[in-house]
Amino acid sequence: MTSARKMLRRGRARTSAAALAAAAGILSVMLGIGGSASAEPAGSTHAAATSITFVDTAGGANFQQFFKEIIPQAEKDLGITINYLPSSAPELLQRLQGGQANQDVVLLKPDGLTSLTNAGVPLVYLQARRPKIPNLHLVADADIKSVLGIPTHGVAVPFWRDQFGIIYDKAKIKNPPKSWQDFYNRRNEWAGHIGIIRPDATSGGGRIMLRDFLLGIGLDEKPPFSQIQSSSEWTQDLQKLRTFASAFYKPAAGSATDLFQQFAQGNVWITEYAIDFTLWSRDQGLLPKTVGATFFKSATYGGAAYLAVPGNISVGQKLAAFKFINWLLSLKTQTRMLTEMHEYPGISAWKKMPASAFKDIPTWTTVQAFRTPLENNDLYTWLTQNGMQLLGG
Amino acid sequence: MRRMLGRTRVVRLSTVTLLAPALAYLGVFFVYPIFVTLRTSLERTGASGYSFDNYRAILGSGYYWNVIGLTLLLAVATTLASIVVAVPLALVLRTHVRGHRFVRVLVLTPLLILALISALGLLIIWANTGWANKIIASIIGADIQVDYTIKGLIVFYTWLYAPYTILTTLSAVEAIDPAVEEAARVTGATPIQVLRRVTLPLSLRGVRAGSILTFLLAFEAFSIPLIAGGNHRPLAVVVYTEATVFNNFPKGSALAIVMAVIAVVVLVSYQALSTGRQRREGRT
Repeated sequence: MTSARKMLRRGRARTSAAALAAAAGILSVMLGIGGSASAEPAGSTHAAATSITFVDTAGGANFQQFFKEIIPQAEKDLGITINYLPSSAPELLQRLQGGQANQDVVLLKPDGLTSLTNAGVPLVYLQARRPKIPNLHLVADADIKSVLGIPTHGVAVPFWRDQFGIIYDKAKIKNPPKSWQDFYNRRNEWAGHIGIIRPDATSGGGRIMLRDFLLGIGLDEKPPFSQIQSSSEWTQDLQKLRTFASAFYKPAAGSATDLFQQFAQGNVWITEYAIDFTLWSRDQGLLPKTVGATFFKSATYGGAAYLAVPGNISVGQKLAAFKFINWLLSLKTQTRMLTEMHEYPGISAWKKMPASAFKDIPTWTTVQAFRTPLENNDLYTWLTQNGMQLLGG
Repeated sequence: MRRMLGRTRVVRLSTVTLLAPALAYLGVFFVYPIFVTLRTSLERTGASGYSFDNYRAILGSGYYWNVIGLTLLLAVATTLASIVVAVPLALVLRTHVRGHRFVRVLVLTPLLILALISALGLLIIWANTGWANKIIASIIGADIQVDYTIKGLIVFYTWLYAPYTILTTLSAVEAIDPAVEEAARVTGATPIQVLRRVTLPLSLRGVRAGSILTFLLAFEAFSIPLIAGGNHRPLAVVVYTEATVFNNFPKGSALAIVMAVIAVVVLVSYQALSTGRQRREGRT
């Protein structure tokens, strides 16, 4: 009996030890202990992978549909499987920091790209991969060196350049404002009908509108944000913004779809938003046909979406990623984006673009003169976090 | 002796083998994600190391208590509204009135439509120019504001989540042996007494199961308040905003843990309360 108990005890001890070892193993995996990063050997002759994941953190509903349409063609042309994954920049950052090495090509807005580089996420130096990405010659050198004023040192390449504008219902507004100051002065003409997306929404439209308004009434966003905040003009500008916001339709829309719904219901008559998504939504019947666009000659946001390749993927994955980026930068794909999506291309081959594409949107030369890129990410982040308070929400 | 030990081992081995798939599933899809969320919630925002800072910030802020209050209010109100809709409907449907099959299918409709699409549709029909609003306005003679209000959210939630209460209540009501109610009637009980003393207590199990489901779904609702909530943003939307807009995963994770703890506490309290009540009623 005693020996039987001993055997049982020994058995239990072994089981416990095994369980402890297994738990320790699981914990070490959970805590990410013992992970390793892959490096790209110089002059390698590896074969390209046959499957990659394309993470899109920049596209709205319109581009998610566009990618679903064009990716099958890319798969056919390149002979690789492309897994399309709509995501967000914070989620992508979380995954990359967690050591996930299956994000092969990523599409990011400027603030997303900045958050990745600020967090020290290694990205492939694309400029040095010109032989693997021949279509890089279609991209202007300046567009590879910096992202809307933020130096990126060649790790990202523009895929598209988006443009904001004043969207208004022509049936309700015959004489739209000519500038932000004019918009502010005449706010009572449209009191209760000026739309905005919540500044803390996933869509950046609302915070961009707040930033553009501040710039439009004279704020200089070039100095560091701490310096801006300590100036007396800042307090006055914020007060003006609060006054302007008192004429907004309440509540602020939770998303672009919600904003368009407010337009369709006749509650919202005028706002600032992305031209491409607005025109696409109008084409889809989500907005009244009477909705049109106008542009202020200053303080009108011009953004972009950038392609990048995380540095932690294998050599084979990188080679496949370069093939896909080259395909995305091809004249055919970029022209299709301009004509179907009303979006300015990332490449600068303007002479090769059809003139008919500029029927609904101004030419690039016109837009370039007034587009105001994001130059102060701290200001933008502050508006994201405090915008709702400014709106009185 | 050895045979006994051998049998014990075989029993233990087969138990472990039978439990393994369920344990593995729980480990991978429940314990591990909870562990990761918990660990992330303890991370310091913008600094290294672990602390309870995020929990302190949440529990010490009036804003988050308001969010928690709103989330509970919406979930409780939706649950009560669902019960109010479910019980009479189930009592009518069990009599197999004309068109009951159509109504049974109709009840399932909200479950067949994506919540996001439902939210947009509800916003449209309840807008000032929407037909639902117009019908009510023509009856009461005044416009009503439903979109972007708390009462609107309760209406929308109830439309989407009441089917869970309705289905379980209906199945409980239909399972009641008609002889029991007949016996009560024969012994002199009025229809109201039969309903109060026999039918309702016997259908309580179904109401409880359904209302728990409805409560949890309403407590975790995301798509409807995101689209149609306006300034009324419950916990799920705030968690999402913290993580994906403010890029603050640690705080978002802490909020998610707080949310889970509240859900578990409410669930356990509700179970204890209704089980105790059932026991007391069983004794009497």
